[in-house]
Amino acid sequence: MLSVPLGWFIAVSSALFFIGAAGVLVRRNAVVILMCVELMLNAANLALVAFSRRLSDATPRGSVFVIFTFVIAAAEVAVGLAIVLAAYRNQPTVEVDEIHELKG
Amino acid sequence: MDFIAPLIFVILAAIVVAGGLAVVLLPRITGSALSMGLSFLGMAGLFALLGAETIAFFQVLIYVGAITVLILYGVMLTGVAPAGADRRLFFQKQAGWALVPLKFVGVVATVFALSFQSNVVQQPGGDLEPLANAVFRDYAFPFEVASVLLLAAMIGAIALVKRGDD
Amino acid sequence: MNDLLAILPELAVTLTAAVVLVVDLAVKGPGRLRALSLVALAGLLVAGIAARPGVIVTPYTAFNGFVVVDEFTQFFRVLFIVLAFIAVLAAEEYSARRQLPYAELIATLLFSTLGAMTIALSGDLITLFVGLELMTIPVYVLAGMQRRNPFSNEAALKYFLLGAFSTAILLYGFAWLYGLTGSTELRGIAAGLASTGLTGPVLVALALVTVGLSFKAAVVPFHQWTPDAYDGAPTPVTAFMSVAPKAAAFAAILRLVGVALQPLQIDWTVAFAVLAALTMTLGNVVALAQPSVKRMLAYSSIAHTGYIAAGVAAAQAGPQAWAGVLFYAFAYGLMNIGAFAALMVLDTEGTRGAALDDLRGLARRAPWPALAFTVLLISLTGLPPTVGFWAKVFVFLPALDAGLGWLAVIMALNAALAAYYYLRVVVYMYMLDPEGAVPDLAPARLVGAAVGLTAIASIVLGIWTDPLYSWAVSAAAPILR
Repeated sequence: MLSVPLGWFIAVSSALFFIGAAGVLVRRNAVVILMCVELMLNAANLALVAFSRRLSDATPRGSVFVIFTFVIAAAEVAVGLAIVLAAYRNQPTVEVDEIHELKG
Repeated sequence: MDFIAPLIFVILAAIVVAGGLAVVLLPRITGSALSMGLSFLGMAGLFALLGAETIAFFQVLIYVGAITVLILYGVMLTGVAPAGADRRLFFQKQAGWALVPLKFVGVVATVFALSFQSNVVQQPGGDLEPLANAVFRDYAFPFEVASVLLLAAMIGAIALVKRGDD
Repeated sequence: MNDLLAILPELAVTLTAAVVLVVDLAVKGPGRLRALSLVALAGLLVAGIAARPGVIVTPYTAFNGFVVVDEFTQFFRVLFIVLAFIAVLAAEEYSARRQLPYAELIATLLFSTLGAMTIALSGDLITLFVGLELMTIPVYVLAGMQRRNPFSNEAALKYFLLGAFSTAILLYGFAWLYGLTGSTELRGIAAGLASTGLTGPVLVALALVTVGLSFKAAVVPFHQWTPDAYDGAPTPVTAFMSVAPKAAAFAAILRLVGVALQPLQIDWTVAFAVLAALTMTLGNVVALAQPSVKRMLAYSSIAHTGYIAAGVAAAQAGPQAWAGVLFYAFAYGLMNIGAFAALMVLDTEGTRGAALDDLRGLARRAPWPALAFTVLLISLTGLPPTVGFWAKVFVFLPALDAGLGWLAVIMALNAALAAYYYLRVVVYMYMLDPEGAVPDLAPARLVGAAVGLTAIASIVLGIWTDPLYSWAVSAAAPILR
């Protein structure tokens, strides 16, 4: 039905998920980590829409799931930036390594 | 016609993956943020190619629009680390310039993706109607919970950053 | 209409949060905080009454099957409402002293409670996921509520970054579960998995989901955020976030494993048992070395996660294993929130929660709080006649029945370790004299009430155990069929 095999979309999704996960583990800047998490959420969204397409049921559950993910991502970014901003006001750095008042 | 959709797919996939890699690899945070926007845009194209044009529309609206801009504001308010500027490699300025045509390609490819999505006969209303039926009727409960979530996030974000009474 | 009746407790909690925010604007002057507390406590009382209208013999669904109301739902609803009630009780005086934005704190706490309740009643992955986020995102905010305090900032930042990361992993796992089974309803996933069996992709999806939920429940090796987040957050928030999200994460795990993943019949036992053993041992060993009582309680909460996970691992022993999980979650919630509340009785300006040395001679300065704290510590240790003892028994026996003798031995050894650091606090309070000048304790009537209530509950439920345990058994029944 589609001239592009769905496996290709899943491959892109997996690649983006691992890029995002690697970014979370490698980068130390809080805002960049937040961006990498957004990439991972996007990868999940692509997988959901692609699966939804393959299953083609009456209710596009995957697409509905993606709508909810959008809401959650927006809420998460808003709260995350507020937290970063509040921390930055007290201690002007966004490097996670430089924030270590608490041992651990 | 059979080779056009795969071609568009390859272009969009390259944009998504390259944008994602750039988020991780670029040393400057503004570069990361813009690459993220690029990756999101390519993703909208992929959604369109899958025939989910409503999702693609929301993707542009929420991710490319709201979230990218929000993160750029975050970058602006927390300052761009000047220390990184010295350590910039010679090709990074050029990489920044490369973003501009890439974004252009992304927009064009997204628009094309809309026209080459699939050979299925689309019912009138596209994917919007089943989606709206699902979200507002079947999924009414999680929808209400999600609206409370947005309210909670709003109150929380304001409580964390408002100035004044402390 | 029937649909709305099914979510009456959730409606009550939402409405309470809204009223709190309005009252904050309407009432000015010195009585504002007390008015806010009263509104929140009254609302939670109403929600609690609505959550327990009677025994549910036949589970029913509402909102097209997205809301499942059974004894399991009721059990967790009541638990979360009780925890929120105690948290509100404990928060007022602390918030007044530290000038936290109290109305926002209460409203955010109520929203988080609502999210936890949503997890307990969800019949599909989407509701479960949205509920999980509604529970977690407000807790990120709560951890950072003391926004002039770098410790609070750091706690919020660490909790947020790792929480968001785990959310993304969990979502990807859910996406794969949906793709492989073609359904987002838990029963539909079970049906799908029954036909696919355990293939490689299913295993990957399960691994992603397990990692995501382990982060939320703070199971070793995904626990690293816990001590810093608990230590840095304002103490009333720590009290809440150390119990409610953990219980909710286990509610999600039980629903998923019991309903959706049930047909796979994988041997979960070994994986969960190893994680449980690691979790309780690491939590206890590190807790031994902590000079700060707040941090000690943070690590010991990891250890308690291990005991709960041991109950999950003992699933083979039959329904009483998961009844033990529910009982432990309830008991742990009461004891731990009470213990953190007890730290607030000792709160003095300029400290971040009690160091062990601050507790010297407390029994003489504040005899009643010291007594209540002692009861809670004994309960956390797991000595009779407290509820903590029975909680340990109810996960210990199923572990033996399930043939996990080695795990039972590790549990017993860990209980001995825990006894050392919990009872050391009692020794400091009763047997050592304070060194130098002692700062005056802040007035803490409401916190005192919270500590007293939890201590009394620990003893009453320890002596009169059967009602709670039989409720836990009937609550575990709908997910174990």
